[in-house]
Amino acid sequence: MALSKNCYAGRILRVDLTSGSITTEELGPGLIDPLIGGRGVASKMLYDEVPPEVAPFDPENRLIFAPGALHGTGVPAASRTTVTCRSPLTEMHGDGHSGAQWGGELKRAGYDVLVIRGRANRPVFLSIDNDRVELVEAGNLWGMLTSQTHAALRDRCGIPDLHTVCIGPAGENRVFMAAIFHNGADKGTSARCGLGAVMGAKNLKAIATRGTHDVGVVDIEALKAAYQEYVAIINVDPHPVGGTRYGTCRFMYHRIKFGIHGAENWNYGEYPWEKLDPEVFRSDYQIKAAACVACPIRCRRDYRVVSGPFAGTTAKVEWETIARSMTCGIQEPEAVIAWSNICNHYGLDIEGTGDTVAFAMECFEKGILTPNDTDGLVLKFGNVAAFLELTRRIAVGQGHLAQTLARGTQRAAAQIGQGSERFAMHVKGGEMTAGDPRGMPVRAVSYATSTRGSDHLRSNPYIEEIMKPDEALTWWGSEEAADIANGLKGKGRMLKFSEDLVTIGDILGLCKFAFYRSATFPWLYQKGVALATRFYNACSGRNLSEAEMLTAGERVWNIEKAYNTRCGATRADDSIPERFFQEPLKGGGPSGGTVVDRDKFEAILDEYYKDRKFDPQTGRPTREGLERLGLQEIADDLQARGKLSRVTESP
Amino acid sequence: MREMTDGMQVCVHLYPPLNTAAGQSLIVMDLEKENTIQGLIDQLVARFGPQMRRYLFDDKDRIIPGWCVFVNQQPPVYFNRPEALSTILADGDEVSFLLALAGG
Ligand code: SF4
Repeated sequence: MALSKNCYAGRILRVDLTSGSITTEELGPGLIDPLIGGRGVASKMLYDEVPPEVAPFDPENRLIFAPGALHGTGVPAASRTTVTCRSPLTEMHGDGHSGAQWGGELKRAGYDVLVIRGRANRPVFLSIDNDRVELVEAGNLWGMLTSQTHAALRDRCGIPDLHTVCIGPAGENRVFMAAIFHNGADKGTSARCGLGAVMGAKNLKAIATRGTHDVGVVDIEALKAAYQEYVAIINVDPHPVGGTRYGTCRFMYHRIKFGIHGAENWNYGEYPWEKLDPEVFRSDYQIKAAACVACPIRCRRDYRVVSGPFAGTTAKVEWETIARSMTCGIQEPEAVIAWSNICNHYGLDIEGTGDTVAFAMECFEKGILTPNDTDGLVLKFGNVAAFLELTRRIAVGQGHLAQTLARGTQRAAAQIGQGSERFAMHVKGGEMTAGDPRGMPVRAVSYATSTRGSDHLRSNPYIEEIMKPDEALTWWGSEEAADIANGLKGKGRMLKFSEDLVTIGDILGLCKFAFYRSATFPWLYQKGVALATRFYNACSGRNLSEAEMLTAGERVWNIEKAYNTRCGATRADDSIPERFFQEPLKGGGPSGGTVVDRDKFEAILDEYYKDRKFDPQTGRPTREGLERLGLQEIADDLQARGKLSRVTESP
Repeated sequence: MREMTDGMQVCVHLYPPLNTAAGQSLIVMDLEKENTIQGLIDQLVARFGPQMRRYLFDDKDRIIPGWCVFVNQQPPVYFNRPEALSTILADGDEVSFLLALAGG
């Protein structure tokens, strides 16, 4: 039976680990109307409840779990749950998104949002079984891998289909790249921003959840009609095809096309990739193709090594696992699978960890680190044994170097010094992701403006690759915006739109691959805005327009920007590592020899700020921009703190 | 089985949306000997008409750069490389069309 007629359970669950108090409150229109759900609600709660005086590991930091508004409804690929906190990596807004069933289970238990505060005086797990919510002693779980924790909780609770989120040893040790894992090692990860470290700092090992209520849908016929249209698009849109065939490993072909691998700590654009060909993974290692909840695309892949030193090792592998392995110079698929296994079981974010290990390797190659510093590890690019062992050591905090690296690339560089800051590859403290931005200025700016540190999923940095000049003229006022390498005008507007666009996905809980990537712009808009809005209206009973849905995305982005501004961020933080500006991409190939043109970068950023109504001088929000979105109290708060800009136009 | 003298046959795997345009996912195409990928594309458009053209070319008549082609499951041929379209095909080749688009 559904708790309510629409897709909301209507309640927030609050748990204070310090006092042990557990309370519920109504999730009312004050949050739902402007922010809808998921990342939207979580970002606003973080702004309201965690001021800059609260450090990331302070018990008063919040860990906010918020399934997207459509999670649990049966809408295809509506499987995303946001976890939000103040990030130890960036010391700004932090969040991660995972496609797994746990968030739907939380809703079925009767809660749209779970807010954790405080710190338990000993390890605990939180048990949620519909209305029965309790904190349970978890000393025997502390030290377990993610897979072991999930299995132990299912045994202990006697519920075979219990859904869990947990941390591994990395989270317990407050490794800044620690993640939160859903249903064990290989089902889904809230990866970025050090969420697992914050959970560990709270002495919270896991959350075990069972819900038996249904999630309501107001207009099932409207949902069915939208579903038919969605399926009609993905049947003709070539974008999902590669995913269905290869999983996310297929993005290898895109990186080869442009020669933007970012191999060896973002030195090389072209790089030997043949052994990591998606076809090799498919034919030689794949054991399982699976889907997130209700997704027809089925891009999740599990692989198994059958022979050699890693025989028997299994792991879920995503494209970023392969990409970040290449960042460490790794070319062997077995090593990629073994590394994924370590990260997933010890509870590490693949992206942050890969870049941090790559940074250490470059330090070693340059003689800044010696075998004395590495406890004997030969940290050369491509050294598989060192790659795997350093990752494990980071997770468990073994040795001085691993403890230094466990605080992320930025802090490690500051500690190691000797010029290593020049090749510490991060934005706002968050390690790089995805492909090399050299030769692609709008992609470079998109990494810079992301509100949670470098990130390709915070926008659609590839949008210009699918736009035709006439579409660019209509939408961004200039045909140039569709020109990947040479265009300028309109790109800032395009980036702003794409950020608001994909934020809709995180609000509603829709997968980026399924809704916010496409082979053409009309399909992208139809799925990501028009159908997303129709799905939401059908499930919620509201009647939002497409423009209102986009405005909700923009509102959420502005809240996060204001949060970061309140934490001290300025225009200088919206930048990328100097390597991209100064060092031509090595290795030849389509993008070989290119750098990010600084003038173009700044010009796109200017246009972007202008379109966002941020002050181009300081990069801060303005009252005009915030009030336009109904965020007057945030404007007042920033003003009271001396962090509100008045200017909207370039001088 | 046809005797191959001046011509050759290649087996073509069409992934969406090209299979929609062709009405099938696997076809055999008769081509002149030593024809190229460009020649194969021309034949596909000639055989299956404007819908096939629409999926393969943009409105400036340039092939959509996202497409890549596998010949006999070898490393793919990309259309943003000038030499790609002149890749020579041989009798019995297996050719697959797939989009190399970004996302992750
Ligand atoms: S496209 Fe892939 S990641 Fe996205 S919901 Fe579907 S299976 Fe999951």
